Order: sequence, then C-alpha cells, then structure tokens
Amino acid sequence: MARGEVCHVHVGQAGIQLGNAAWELYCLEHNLQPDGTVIDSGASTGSPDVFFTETRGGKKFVPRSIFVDLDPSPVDEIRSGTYKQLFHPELMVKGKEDAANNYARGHYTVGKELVEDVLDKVRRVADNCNSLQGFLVFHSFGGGTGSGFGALLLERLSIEYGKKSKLEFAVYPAPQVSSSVVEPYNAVLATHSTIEHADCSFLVDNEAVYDICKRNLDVSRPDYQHLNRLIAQVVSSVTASLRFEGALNIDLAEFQTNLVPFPRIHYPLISFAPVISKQKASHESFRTAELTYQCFEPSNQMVVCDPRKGKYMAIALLYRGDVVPRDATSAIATMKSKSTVNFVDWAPTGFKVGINYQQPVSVPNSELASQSRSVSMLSNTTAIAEAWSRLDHKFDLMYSKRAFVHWYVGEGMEEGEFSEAREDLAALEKDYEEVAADEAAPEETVEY
Amino acid sequence: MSTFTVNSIDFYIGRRLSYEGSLCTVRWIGTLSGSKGTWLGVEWDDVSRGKHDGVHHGRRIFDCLSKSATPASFVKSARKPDTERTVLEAIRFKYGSNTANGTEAEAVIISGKVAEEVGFDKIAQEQAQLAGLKIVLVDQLIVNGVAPRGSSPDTIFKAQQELSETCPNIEELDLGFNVVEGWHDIADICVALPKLRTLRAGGLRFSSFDYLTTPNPFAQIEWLYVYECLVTASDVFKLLKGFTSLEMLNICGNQLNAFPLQVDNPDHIPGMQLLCLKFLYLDNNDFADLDCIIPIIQAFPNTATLSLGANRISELGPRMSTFKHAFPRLSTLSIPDNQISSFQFLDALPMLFPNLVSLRVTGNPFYSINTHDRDPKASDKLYYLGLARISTLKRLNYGLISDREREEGEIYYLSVAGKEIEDLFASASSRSTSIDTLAEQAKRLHPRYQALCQKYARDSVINQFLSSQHLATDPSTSTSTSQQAVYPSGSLGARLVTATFYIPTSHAPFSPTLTEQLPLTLPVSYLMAHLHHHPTFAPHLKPLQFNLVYESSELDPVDTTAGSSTRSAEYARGHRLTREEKENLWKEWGDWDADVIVEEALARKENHMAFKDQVNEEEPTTEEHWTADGFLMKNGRRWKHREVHILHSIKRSWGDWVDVKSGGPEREVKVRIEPFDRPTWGT
Repeated sequence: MARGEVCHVHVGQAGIQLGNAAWELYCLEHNLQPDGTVIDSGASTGSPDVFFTETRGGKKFVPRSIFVDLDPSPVDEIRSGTYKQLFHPELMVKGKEDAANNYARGHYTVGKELVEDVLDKVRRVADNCNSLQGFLVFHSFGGGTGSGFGALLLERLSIEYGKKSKLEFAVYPAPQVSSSVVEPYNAVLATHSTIEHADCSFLVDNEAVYDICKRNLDVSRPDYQHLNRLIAQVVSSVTASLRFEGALNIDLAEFQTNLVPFPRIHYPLISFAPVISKQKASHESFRTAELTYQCFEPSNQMVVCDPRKGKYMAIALLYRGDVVPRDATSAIATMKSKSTVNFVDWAPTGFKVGINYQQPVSVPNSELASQSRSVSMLSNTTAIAEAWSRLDHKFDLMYSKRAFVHWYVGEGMEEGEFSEAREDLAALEKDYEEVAADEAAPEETVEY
Repeated sequence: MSTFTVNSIDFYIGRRLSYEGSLCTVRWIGTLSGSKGTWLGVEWDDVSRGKHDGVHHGRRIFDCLSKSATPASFVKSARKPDTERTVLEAIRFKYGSNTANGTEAEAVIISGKVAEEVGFDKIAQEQAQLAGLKIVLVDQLIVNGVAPRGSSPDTIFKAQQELSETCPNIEELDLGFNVVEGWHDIADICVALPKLRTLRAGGLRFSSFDYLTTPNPFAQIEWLYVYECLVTASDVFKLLKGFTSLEMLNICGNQLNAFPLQVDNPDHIPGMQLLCLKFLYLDNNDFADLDCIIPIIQAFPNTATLSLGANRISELGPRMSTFKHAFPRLSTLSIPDNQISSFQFLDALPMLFPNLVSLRVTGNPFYSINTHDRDPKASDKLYYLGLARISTLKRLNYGLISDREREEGEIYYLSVAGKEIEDLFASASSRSTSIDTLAEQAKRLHPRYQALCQKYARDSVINQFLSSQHLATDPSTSTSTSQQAVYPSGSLGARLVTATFYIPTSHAPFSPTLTEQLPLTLPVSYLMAHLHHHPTFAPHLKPLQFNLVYESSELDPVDTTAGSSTRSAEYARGHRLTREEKENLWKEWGDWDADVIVEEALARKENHMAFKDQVNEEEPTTEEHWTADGFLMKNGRRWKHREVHILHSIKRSWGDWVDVKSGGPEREVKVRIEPFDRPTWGT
C-alpha cells in the first residue's frame, strides 16, 4: 500500500543540523548512499518513498525536505557537507541577515521577507506528492530563526494546509548548551504562537540529551553533533512506523488520536532505550524487559521532569528490532509489578504497544552502539508541565525587570505580546493541573 | 568422571544446571557432615546468589572459578532443576506462533487500563516462519545443545539435520546464559548453520574446549563473543582454533590478567595467527599494565581497534616501555575506567602507536573532574592537555578534534608545560644537578614541548634556561630582532590588523577617522558598539543605525562597455540566477534530479573562474583613468573597488567579511561607516 508522503521542514541552525543528522540516519536505514543512490545496486529497505522522492527509476532518492535559515552559514555547511548530493539545491533557502537570537527578527522584520519564498517551495513539494500526510517541522525554541521563523512558518502552513498533520520536533532551551540569554523569551513567544498550529510537538530538552551523552555514552565533552546524533535516533524510532512495516501509527494523524486528548495538551514526552556506548554494549546484553524498564526511568527521558509526580494520559511503546511479541507482553507485565504507572481516571485506554521488526541502525564510528533492539516510549504525562514552569520562571526573572525587551520592541514588536504569551503559558500549566486533578477529589472541609 | 543419578538426572562435576532460572555449575558431589543426603556443591553464575566460596565449617570442600567471595552454595541433589531444551525446542518456544496452539497470553492491565497490543499477531506470524529467521537469540532459555544430553552420534546427526532444515538462514545466534557445557556442543550447533556469521556465547561455563567436528564449523564466523565465561587465556587460544575468518573477538569479563605467551619465542603461540582480526575487546578483565597486549598483537597482528576498559591498568609495563613504533596498525585505543594516574602515560603512546587516531581515557584518575571544582572549563582543560600530547589524534573521548581545538589545546598545553618545566628548574637549581641532565629531564617530562614551541614560534623555556646557564653566550647570537610589530604566526598579535574607520564627508563634517589595531575575531556587534561609543564617532552615530562597509583594495569589473564578450556580460550579472533560469530548474523538478542542477551550477562556476583567469592574464595597459563617479576605466572596462557590507551579527566576527588573513602580508583594512536613520515602526 502506498502511504501518504511526509514533508520535512528544518528551520534555523538547530533544525538544520538536526535535519542533517536525521537524514544521515534515514539514508543508512533505507540502504542509501550519501548521494541518495541505493547501495551496491541492491534494493532499498522499507518504504523510503514516504520521505523521499524516487528519481531515475528508483535508483536515486531525493529527500522531501526543506532547509531554511536566515543566517546563510548553516545552509552553506549542508551544501558543502557530506550530504550535498542528497538534498535538492533549490529546497535550501537562506537569508542574508541572521535573526540574531531574536524572535522578533525571525517572526517579523527579517523572517517576513523570506516566508513567501519558503511557502513557494513547500507548495512545489506538496504538488509533487500523491497524498501528502503532513509536515514534520524541526526547529529550536531558543534561537531567533527557530523560534520566530519556525512559528511564522507553522502559522502559514496551518492556513494553507489546515487539514494536514503538523508535527514538531522542538529543541527546548537548556542552560548548559545555551547560546544566548534571551532563550526563555524566544521559547515562551514561540510556544504561544505555535500552540494553536502544531498538532503534536515532541520536545527535546538539550539538557536532558546532554546528560544522557555524558552519563550513558561516556562522552566527556558532548558537542552538538553528539546531541544531534542521539536526537536523530529518537526521531528515527518515532518515525520508523511511517517508513517500515509496522502496525502502530501508520499515518501521522494517528499520533494525535492516540496521544493528544485535548488540542492544547500536545507535548508528549519521549524516552528512549538503550542509550549505551559501544564500550558498554560489548558486555551488557539488553533484554526486552530491561529496556522497557529503562524507558520509565527519568534518566532516559528527552525532557528533564519526573513522571512519577504526574499522571499519564496515554502511553505508546514502540519496540523496534528483534523483539518477540511474547517478550513484549511479559516485559509490560514485569513493568506493572516493578513501578507505579499512574493513569488519569478519565482515559478509557492508555497503553498501546507496537513492534517494528526493522532493526535500529547506528552511524558508523559514532559513540552510539549498534543494538539489535530498542524501545521508544511516547507518553503524554502531566509531569511535563514541570518543564513549562521552569521556562516560565526564567522568563519571569528577566521580564519583571523588562530586561532585553528593547531588542524585541526595536524590531517592531509590541510589549503586550510578551505578557500575552506569558499568560498563555500560565494557562497551559493550569490545563495540565486540571487534567491531572482527580474527578472524585474529596471536597475540602470548609469551616465558618 | 563419577556420575550420580537422582530422578533420572545425571549429576557430575562440571554439569550445568538451572534452578528457577538461576544458572550454576556443579563443582562437587558428596555428603556433608551434620546433614543427611547427597549434596551438590554448585557455583552460581550470578555470584551474589551464593553464600560462600566452597568452604564448609572452615574446611575447603571445593574450589570455584570466580574470584568472588560468595559464588557457591550447597544444593540438595533431590531438588528438581529446570527442564532443559535443545536449540530447536528453544527456537520453537520463542519464535513459534503461540496463537496457533490457542495459548493467547492474557491482557496486561495497568492501573485499570488494558495495555493494547497493536499488530502483535502480524509480527508473530512473520516470526513463526522459522525458515526466514536470520537473527536468533535463544539466550536464557536453558538450552543444552543441539540434542539432549548424552545422545548418541546418530541422534545428534539427526538433530543437526532437522535444525539446518528448519532454520537454514540463521546469520546471528545468541546462545548466551544457557546450560551448554562444552565447546563441542557449540561446534555441533554451528556445523548445522552454514550461514552463521555472528556467534554470541556469553555467560557460559565450559568444561572442555576440544571439538572433533568436520567440516570446520567456525570457518565463516566473523564475530565471536565469549564474554563472562571465566575462560583463561590459554582456553581462549584453544577455542580460537578454526576461526579462520574472525574479524571481531570479544572476551570481556573473564578475569584475564595475562596471556601466557612468550615474546622472545613466537613459536610458543598456540594456534595460528589470526590475520583477519581487526577488533579486539578486552574490557572488564584484570589486566594491570599494557604488557598484556604484546602477545595479543603478535597473535592478531592486524588489530586496529583495541578496547581495554574497566581493567586495572595503571602503567605501561616494563616491556612495553622499551618498544618503539611497535604497533603501526592500531588506530583506536580505548582504556577508560582504569587506574592510570598521570598524563605521562599519554606521552608514551605516540611511541607505541604511531597511527593512533582515536583514544578514550575517561574515568581514569588523571582524567577525572573534581566535582567540588566548580570550574566550568575543567573538562575543556583536560581535553586540551590530552589532545596536545598526541599529534595524530583525531578523536578524544568521542569528541571530534577540530583544527581550532587542536591549535587552542596545543597553545594551552605549551603554557602549562612551560610552567611545569620552570618549576622543575627552580626546584632543582639549588641542587647540584647538571644543566644538561635537567634539560633532558624536562624534555622527558614533556616530550612534545620543544616541537610545539617550534610550531607556534614560542620561546622554549628549556632553551632559555640553557642559554642563561651557559654564561658564555656569544652576544652576536642573541636575537636582536627589531622592535617591529612582527608577530609569530599563531600568537595573538598575529590576529591583529590595522583598521581605519571613517565616516564620509557626506554624513559628517571633517570626516572623522579612527585607526586602531583590532583582532579579526571580534564579533560584529562588539565592533559596532565599540565604534558607537568611541569619542571620535559618538556625536555622529545612533545605536545600531549605521552600516559598516569594507573597502577592499581589489578591483572588480563592474559591467561591460562596448566590445566586451558575452561571457563577461554573464559574469557582470553575477552568479545570481535569473527568473527564467530558476524556472528551468523547477522544470527539471519533475524528475527531481538534483545532480543535474548541481552539475550545472558547478559548470557555471567554472565558467566564471575561467573568465576570471582570463581577466587576470590580460596585459595591464597604461591607459587607465578614474571617472568622476568612482570607476576606473581600464582596457575598455569599468572597474570598481570591491565593497563588502559587514552585516550586523552577534555571533559572526567581522573578519568573515574582510579579505585580510591573519598573519598575511596585507594587514590594513579600511572600513567606511554609513549612518542611516531607521524609520520608526509603523510610520
């Protein structure tokens, strides 16, 4: 069965670098060379046509991906990098002036000039598809282009392609790997303007990924490449069911149906196991039960928060590789006895399990070991509100003194947008609180 | 071998058993004083499961392989062990369809919600086609071999045939953590699987390593894992017989501490040399120094990757330190979590491994970051000190070493090493050590120091010391370079350029001008703030309301006048594509042929280059003059000084827009400041 096509959009430096890592992995998984031709004239594996367009009678695949940045250098890097033969040169759009870590520049002044051009490219890609399923937008919440232009683009996509799914992979700012002080501003503003337009947003916290690299992969100085390769593994396992024979989530819309009970509560938490360095993998064997257990550990999450303090609304467990149904079932049964998994009362079902027989692949010479099986867990938990309140707190610290606000006002933004965005985030935190609240909470004793 | 039978189960020394999923090996059979019945002394695979190490009431009754204190227990012989399976039974148990025989597993319910399994039956169905299985993992399934224990050769042969008929396509097999007893059992299984490439046999205990199976069952196996089997080094070589195409060997977690091979006597190597072997993993053993790898490298001379993590290595070892360029093939060395205490260890590595590209040393005492140390740069410092010591290194602890990091690291190392050497001289000057010995000591302390001083044109502390000590210095040799600002390349000074900034008279009277020495690495935003605040310009500039334009001394052709070729017309138009050209690109969109477009773009670029060469080759003529509007007329063309707009950016340095290279001969930059009024928003 031919499946609907998916278009990738990579916005800003983080989005582009992440895109590069993700496409590197897609190519390996589909048995493609860095120029998009099939390795050794063998067959491509899986259904690459979901993400790629076939040319030359199936001999060469061109990604359906658009790279945009206001700053020319990240795009130039791709154009001169290993994968320069892979991407369509006309689908890489670069500006002249960077957004200078300023949401307002990305969203209003500088971004405005580029958005029509990008939408034109999107239209070209969409016209080339038989039945477009939707978009995967990769961007950061902290950078100027990622937050500002990413939000602008999502708004426009939502107007033009309202019916299509729009999934986000958003890099959430973290102090360890931060490039500017105004990241909390950008993140809050971007969340405010994308919350209505994205159907499902997978947050990736740089801090969590950084910790995983240091702790589990034994990388003493993780750099962006390490982080991106790890995130690419997660992206690949989330999208594996679109690209390979599998049962769960064969189209993008089902992600939402399964995971998003309310339109605003669309930020599932991703956990991934195993994250293990080559060194350790040689003498540690990973059984399905252990992997499943690891997924529920906060140390394997892509966002720093404690799910034990919150409640789950939905969980999807995606097994990948050599996993036998029997093992998966018993692993979940063991899980049940080992840890407490709290679901909200009102959800009818909460737990979906799927197996994808395709083995995970790791990039040669990278720190990540090849594994015969992996598990990724997507869970909509109220604990992720922690991440929002952390962000809001940082926002408040600066905004109470109106620090750095002039940079935004100078680009034509109104100060009102700041408070409006902040209120929206407060409402989001409140939403999570309400969702978690027990229906049958005993009434407080009121005394007069 | 004495055999003891209870309930038709034979017990003998070396017998592998499984009690409720815990694996053990029988080490002793007999009666214990003070208790009735026959007891089995067993050594558990999981040492935390046991109670002692074979000592009963202060009397040693049997010995264990494990060096742990509590690997053993006594078990009543009447206790019933778990039922064993053959390989094929295990495969059928695990992969065989359980929906077929109607034993649907009951649904798992978590806090009142059913865990919904999507498409499991489809996967199960696919896996139930045993003939298609390529990867078979039957670990922890109490497998005892291809046929039940004690089977006759005929039964074994039949079982082998059945196995190879049922699963002819197995490429990877995991037999780990089972009750297989002898290496011959494994040989019997492998002989039935002609496509097998990867064999995992971890967590087993072998009573014998001999096998008499023909044809050689291991000839095709490329990857072999024998981890956590408590095998000895000589056992390893015994079982490696026959693995003629082995590429990867993993013998982690085997308590190995040495290889019993003689360096002086290569004939002593039991078995043959394995020339295909490239990857060798020896983590979690008991090696104490690098001497252990000498016999290994002799047996596997093509080893490129060697991993020795989590051993007890603290030094090179007496023999290793005498070797020079001994292991040219080795490119990846990994020794994390050992006991190496000083950076001196790294200094020795280039001598041994001249082509070392990747190194991992995390978790050693010398490379550990003090958690109390709040210095955020602590890990950078270690990284720099590490990479500077080995010039061939491309990766350190998985971090890719960029050229810039190498430069910074080596310069940092120079300062640290210089200080240490100075300290050495200072502490020794009171004592009566000869000067040359001291210098030698210093060179030994930092073998790369002198070479790096030369690379970055630094004064070597050692040379200074030597010249100051040898009082008979010839005054003519003392360096008397003039006080000109000639900076050695690599120094900070070399990054400076002389920059002249001015506001043209059209914007400010008397054209204020400023000439300063500035580094090219300054971010544009800093530069702009600096200019804006500088008293020379402050009255004329508003914040962020001015542009910077770099005026190059190079001339560029502007457009064509009469008689010029069409090619130059194309060039003058620049390489920006016209609308039609773009549309043509999109027409090819139909078959999305990225190559064609790239090739075209390349061809166009080549044309430009050719044209540029042509321009350069032309004879300069004297007929040239400047026109009133700032163009130079030459050879019938108009030329103009190239101007580059320095764009405002927080991250990028202004040097990115400027053609002067640091350290280059041309070190003067002229920048024009163009103030403008930003229209207020909304007006």
